[in-house]
Amino acid sequence: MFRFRFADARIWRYMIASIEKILDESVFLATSEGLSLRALDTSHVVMVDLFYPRDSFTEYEVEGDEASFGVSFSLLSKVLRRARKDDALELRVDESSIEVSFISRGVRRFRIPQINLALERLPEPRITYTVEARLMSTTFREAVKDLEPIADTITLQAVDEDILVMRGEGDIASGEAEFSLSRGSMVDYRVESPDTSSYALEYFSYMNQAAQAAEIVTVRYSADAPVRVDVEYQDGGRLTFYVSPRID
Amino acid sequence: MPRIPPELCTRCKGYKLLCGLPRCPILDRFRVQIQAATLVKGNSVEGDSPPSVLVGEYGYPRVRVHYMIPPGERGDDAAYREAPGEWSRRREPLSRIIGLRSGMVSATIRARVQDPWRLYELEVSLAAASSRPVDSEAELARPPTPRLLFDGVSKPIGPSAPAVRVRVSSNPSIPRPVETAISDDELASRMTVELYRRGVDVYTIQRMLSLGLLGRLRRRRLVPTRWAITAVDDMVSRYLRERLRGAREVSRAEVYYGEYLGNRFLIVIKPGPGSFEWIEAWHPSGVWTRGAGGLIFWRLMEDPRGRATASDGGFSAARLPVLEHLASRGVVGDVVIIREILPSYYAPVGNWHIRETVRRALESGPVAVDPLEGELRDLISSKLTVPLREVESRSLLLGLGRRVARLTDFM
Repeated sequence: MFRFRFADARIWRYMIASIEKILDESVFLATSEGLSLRALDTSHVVMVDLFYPRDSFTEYEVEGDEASFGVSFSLLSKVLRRARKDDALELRVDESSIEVSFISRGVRRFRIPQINLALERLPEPRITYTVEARLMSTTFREAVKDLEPIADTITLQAVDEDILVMRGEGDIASGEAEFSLSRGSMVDYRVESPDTSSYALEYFSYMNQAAQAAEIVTVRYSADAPVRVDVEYQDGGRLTFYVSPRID
Repeated sequence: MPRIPPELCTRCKGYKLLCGLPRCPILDRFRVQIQAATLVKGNSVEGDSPPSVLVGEYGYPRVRVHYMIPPGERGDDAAYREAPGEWSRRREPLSRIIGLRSGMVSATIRARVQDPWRLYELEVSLAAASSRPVDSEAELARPPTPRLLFDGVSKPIGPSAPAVRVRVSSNPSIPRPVETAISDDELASRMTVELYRRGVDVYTIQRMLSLGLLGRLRRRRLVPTRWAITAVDDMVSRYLRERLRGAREVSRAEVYYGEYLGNRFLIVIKPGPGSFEWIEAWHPSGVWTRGAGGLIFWRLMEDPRGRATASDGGFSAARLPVLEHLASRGVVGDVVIIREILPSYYAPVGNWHIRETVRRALESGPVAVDPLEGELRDLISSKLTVPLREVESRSLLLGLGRRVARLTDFM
C-alpha cells in the first residue's frame, strides 16, 4: 500500500521523539508529492506539521492516489530509538500494520499495529508574521537549554533590526539569550514591527530533539499570535510546530 | 523546611505561644504521649493494631518501621485510630486526630528495604494489609519515653521504643483480592490498578506497597510511607486518565468548595481536554510559614497527558478524587484547584485530609454552575481570604486575565 526508504534513520528517530511528546497518535498521509502529517495536541495549543517531499526519499511508492495510516507515536518512537548511525530506514505499510526496518549491513525488522483513526484535513493557521529569524539549529537548541532549568515561559522580543531576544521567566529566576544578525548568531532576520510574544517553554524543549538532526531553525511570530518554528532538514524535509501564545 | 527555632520554644514552654500558633503542637503531643505511655506496663504493649504501620525514610536504605499498637485497646476503638475517611466525614478537629495518633505506642523495627521478607515472617506485613484490627503484642527494649521532636514533619507518632519482639496473635483478615495480589509475581503498578479496580481502598494499597507486598517477587522493597502514598495516587490517577481518553468534555464550568482542618479548597472543573492547575496559598504563621511576612504561593500545572511541571504529594492527593469524580461521570475537563492553608492548620497530619476534603467537596455538589466571569470572581473572593488579584495574576487556566490561547482561534 505504501513504502519508503530513507537514507538516515536517525533523522526520523529525532523527529518522532519530538512529536511523541506532543501527540499520542495521528495519521500520516502519503501522496505522489510526499509524506505529510498535520495534527493538533489534545489541549489545542500546539500543531505539528510535517512534510517530506518525495525526492528526499531514496525509494518511495504509493499505491493509488494516496494512502493514510494511523500511528501510535509512543510505539513508533520505541522502535525508532533503536536507529543507529549508518542505518537506512524502510517503512512498509499494509492494511493493518507497519513494518519498520533498519538496514545497514544486516536488517533489523519491527512490526507495529496501525491505529484506526480517521484522517483530519486541518487548515494551516492563518497568521501574518511580523518577525522572522533563521538560526543555526545549534544556536536555537543551546538557547532553549540555557533557559530550561530556570524558566517556564519564553518571551520573544524583536529589539531592533539586528537583535532578537529570547527571554525565559520562571517563578523566581529569569534569563535571556540574545541573537544578533551582525554578529552572526542569526543567519537571516527580518522585522516588520518590533513585536513581543510569550509561549510555554516546555514546547520549545519538545522541539529540541527534532532540531538535533537539523541544520536550520526558522522562527516566525507576531504579537500575541502563535509562533511558527520550522525545523529544516538538509534533504528538503521540514517539521513545523505552531504554538499558541500566553496572554497576560 | 523551616523549623520552630527551639530557642523560642524553650522560652515559651508552651503557654506564651510565641510561635503564633493557636495551640502549642509540642505540648499537644506531649500530653497524649504521657497518657499512652502510662498505659504501658513494664516493657510490653498489647492491643489491636488498627492496623497502623509506617515505614520511615530516614537512613534509607536502612529504615525504621513503626508498628503501632494502642495499649489495651480493641476492635472499633482501635480501628478508629487509622480511619482518614471516617475522620473527615465526622470532621474531627486537629487536636482529636493528634490524640488518636499519639495514643498509640510505636514498636520500632530496623529493616533493610531490600529485605521485606523478614517483616513478612514476623507477620507485620500481613497485619498491615488486614481489613480489621489485629491483636498484637510487642516487647520493647525500654519503656517508651515521650520524646519531643522539633521538626514538625513527622506524622503524629506516639511514644516509641525499639522492639525486641513483635507478635501478631490474631489472624489478620485479608480480603481475597489483597491475598491474590500478595502472591502475584506482577509489577506493582499493575497490581495497584488491579486492587483499585476491585474496590480495595487506596490507604490499604499504600500500606501494601510500603511494606513490600506488591511487585515482582524477587524485586520487592520496603517503600517509605511518604513515597508510597504519592506513588499510589499517581499510579491510580494515570489509570483513570487512561480510562478517560477520548471522553467528551464537560459542557459547562462547575465550581466546588470544601474546607476542613484549616484547609480550603476551591475546585473549578471547566470544558477542556484535561489539564490541571494547582495553586497553593499559605498564610503566614502556619505550620511551615512561621517566619513569613506574607502569603506564600506555590503553583504547578499538569497537561492532559499527565506531565506535571513539578511533582507534589499534595497535588497528587487532590487530583485523585477529581479524576475519580470525572471518571464516574465519564467526562473530561480542565481543572483548577486552589488550596488555601490557614494558620489554624497548626500541625501537619499527613496528606489524607487533602484527598478526603476534595472528595467530599465534589460529593456535596457544585456551589456554582456555569458562572459568568464576574460571578466566578465573586465566588473566589467570598470563599477564600486570598486576594482575588493574587489568584488572577497566577492562574493560566481560570481564564481571568492570564490565559493560553488556543490554536483553533487562529484557524
